[in-house]
Formats: sequence, C-alpha cells, structure tokens
Amino acid sequence: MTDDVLDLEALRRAARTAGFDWADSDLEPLLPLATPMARALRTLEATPVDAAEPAIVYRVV
Amino acid sequence: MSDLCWWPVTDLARAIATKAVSPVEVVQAYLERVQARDAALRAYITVCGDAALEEARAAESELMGGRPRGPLHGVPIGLKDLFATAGVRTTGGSRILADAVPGQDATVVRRLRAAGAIVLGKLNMVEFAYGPEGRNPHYGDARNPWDAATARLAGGSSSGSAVAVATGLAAAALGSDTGGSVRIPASLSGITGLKPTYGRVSRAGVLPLAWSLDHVGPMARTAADCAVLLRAMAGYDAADASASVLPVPDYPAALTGELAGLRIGLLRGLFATAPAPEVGAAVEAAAAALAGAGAVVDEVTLERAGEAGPAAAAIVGAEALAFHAGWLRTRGSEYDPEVASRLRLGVLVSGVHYVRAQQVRGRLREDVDAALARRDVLVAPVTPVTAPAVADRDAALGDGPADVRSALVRLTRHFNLSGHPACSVPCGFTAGGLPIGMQVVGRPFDEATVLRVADAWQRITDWHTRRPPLA
Repeated sequence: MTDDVLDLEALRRAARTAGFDWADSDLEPLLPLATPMARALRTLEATPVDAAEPAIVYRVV
Repeated sequence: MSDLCWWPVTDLARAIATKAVSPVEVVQAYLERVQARDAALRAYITVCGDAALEEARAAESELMGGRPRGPLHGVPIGLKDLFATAGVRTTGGSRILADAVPGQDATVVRRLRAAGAIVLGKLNMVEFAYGPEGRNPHYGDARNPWDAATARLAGGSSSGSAVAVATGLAAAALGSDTGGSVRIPASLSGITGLKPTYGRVSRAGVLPLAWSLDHVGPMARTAADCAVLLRAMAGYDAADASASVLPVPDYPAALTGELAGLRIGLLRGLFATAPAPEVGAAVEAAAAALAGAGAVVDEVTLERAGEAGPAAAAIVGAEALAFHAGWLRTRGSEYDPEVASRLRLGVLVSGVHYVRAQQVRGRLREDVDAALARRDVLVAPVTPVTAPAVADRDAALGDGPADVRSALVRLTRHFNLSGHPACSVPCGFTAGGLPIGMQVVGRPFDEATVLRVADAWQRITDWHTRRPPLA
C-alpha cells in the first residue's frame, strides 16, 4: 500500500482489504490525498526505530 | 454592561463572589451579545439561553445563601460541541449527530459545573474534529474576527471556542487537541489555549478523533484564566483509562510572575525554518524579551522533529477510521466530503504502520524529554503562518509552499505525539493585523511552569488584551 503513486484500483484493493465496500465515487476524491499519504507511510517505514517499544497508549501515571 | 463580556475569568469570578455583579446580570450580558453578534461570527451551534439563565438565577440564589459552588461560580463558558451535555444536543459539528442528545455530562463538564461555571452553549467546530482549518459546511465556518475585509480561517478544530472567546461571546471555553486543535485556533484567533499533558484531563464523554492523541484543554483570554479552569477540570477519572492519578496542583498559585532564572529553550531546526518571516521574527523577539526579563534562554533542536508528520498521519488515520467505520459504511454521504475522504484514507495504514508510528512516538517523547532535561520550558511558533484566507488552499512557509491543512499542524502535532503540555499565547501581530502565537512547552504534568511562563509573558506584554475588529 505504499507505492508512491496510487491509482483507483489500488484504493479499491486497500478499502476491500480493510473491510469497506466503497463505490468509486467515494474513492475518487481520495486520489489527490493518497499519494502524499503513501509517501508519508514510506517515510515511516524507513524511519529507524531500532528496538524501541511502541509508546504505551494508555499509561496511568 | 456589555463590558462585562470582556472581563477576565479571574476578575469576573471575584466580582461575582463579592456580589459586585450578579450571575444573572453577567449571563444576560453574554446572551444579548451572542444574539447580536453570532449570526456573523458563527461561533455557536447551539445556544442554551433559557438553561443558562435558569442556572444563573440558581447561582445567584446560592451566592445569597452563602453557598458558592467554587472558583467559577456564575462564570459563563462555552463548550466545543463534542463534549457530552446532559439534555443538550452534542453534534460533533456533524449532520450525523445533529439530533443526538446525551444522557449525561462529560466528566470535564460535570467538574466545571461543580466549580460553578454556567454553560452558555455548544460551540462550532470542524466536523468530528478532523481538520485544523475551522471549516464546517453543515453549520457554517466560524469567522476569524481579525480581518473585516477578507474572510479568514479561525483555525480548528476548536474554531467556535476560539472565536467565542476572542469576540466576547464566552468568558472561556473548552477545546480538544489531537494535532493542535486547541493551540492552532488560539493562535490564529489571538487568544490563549492550553493543551495539558496526556492524561491530565479526563476524555470521558468527549467524542474521540484519535484516542491516543486526544487532549482536552481550556481556552481563554489569559493564561491566568486557563489556570483557574485547569484546576477545576483536571484529575483522575475512573471513566478514562488514560487519566492520571497524580494530584492536581494549585495552578493559579503557581503564577508568580517570576521569570528570573527560568531556563527556556528556543526551538530551532524545523521550528525555525518552517515559519514565515513575520512569525519567526515575532517568536525570536519574544524569546529575547523573556531573556530581558531574567530568563536564561538558549537554542535547542529536536533532532527527530521531521518524523512527527508521518507518525501522526498513521496514528490519526488508523484510530479515526476505526471510530468512524460503522457510520462510513451506513451514513457516508452525510459527512462533509472532505472529512469523509480524510477518514477513508485510513485504509492505507496497515497494522505495521500503526505500531511503527507508536515506536516513533516513543522516540519523539524521549527527544522532547532530553531537551527539557536541563530546561524548564521550550518555546516555538504555534503555526508557521498566520490565519490564511478562507479561499487559500496553499500557504507560503519559510521553507517553501505547503497546503494549508498540513501547514497549520506542522509545529503542533509533535507535542500530541509526545504528550507534553503546551500553551499557545499571543506574541505579536503581522503588519496586516493578524495575531501570531507562541507555544510554551513543558515537562509532563508540569502545567504549573508552562502557565507560569505564559502568565509572566502576559504581565510584560499586552498582545492578549487587543480586541479584534469584528468583536
């Protein structure tokens, strides 16, 4: 899901994989947003985190 | 008595407590002002006029009977329309919840009422808090009050909260901040807004955008007012698994006005290159003024600052889609199309992305902790640009053009990921008369020092006392 340029078919596949059966008219407006998002996710994949544990979401201090 | 609507919460509460003014008089003044001005400003989605007057009469009676409720007795406030209010619709700025009436108050609302606050109404916001610009096609955009000629963004998502406070339509307000939604509208609308530490204020009864990033905070005209509200709001809540058990300090008592010896780090790197020249210059001048008042100011860089954007996008994308999945399946056409697209984009975020973003988040927190190890607070611009025109889709940043939405969150989301407290205070105006905001960032659960610096800043400057032309 992190190709830098995503087309409608890629969005259809991603939506179906996530359990959503959206119409093309729902997905087409995503196209201008999808490429920057894919780039952000690619950057995230490339960010070194070493052995860092994920931040604890619910931390009671 | 319309001047009552400009009194700080601290003065108003004192005047009510000493019976110099009555809560009924105060609430009537605010309601008259709301009626006269809000059609143009669109700060409110729902005005609770009758209920507020009834509460004001009860407050007066309690006061006369020697039974004041607390430090906010009779003070009228507004609530971003995602805080549950018993018997009053809570729309989340959406059509989907246009007629949703909760059965009980959110914890923070209950606490503010217990401290004596009177709820004037529910404030405009970006639909489901998903966006920093302040646009809302269902209820109309709250209008930035600083430019009478050009319609400008109020900032979001707590747009109505900022506009109501900036224009004297509420003495103070509540907002929520997932990527900057308290600080951004505070900055663009020229008021003071605090995002407390994650866990300091209960989120129970607050419509979520992204559970692990959502913070609830006060918005007011002064840091001293924010201190009074935070004291009343904060504290452990069994209904919120993230709420801290740490005791709540006496924030107003921490406001000594003293800056001498405080160690302040002026953030550089992204925080210095992204801002437009007028914004960067104002914050640098503010840092110099703080040094002139006795603080020890140096420069510091957050090495991993550039990693915040992708991490925030993955976390918000996944959590927001998870919350909205049901409605997106059955009522997708009722969303603002732009918000629906942002939500749907979450399908691109995999489980691995989400966890990796949480790993990055831990490192970002360490980065901020390290910067604060030898400093009391950090300061930086809130937004790299001042309020863009409503028609603008791009903004000119110091390091190049960017779309308005990503520009506005560029310097704020870092502290949602790290969880550190951050307060936006006005620190200047552009030549065109638009407010510039500076954020003061502190150690976890050290809102007292953050507010102390913000308050001391407001004792030596008057930026926060200016009134916008549309007020």
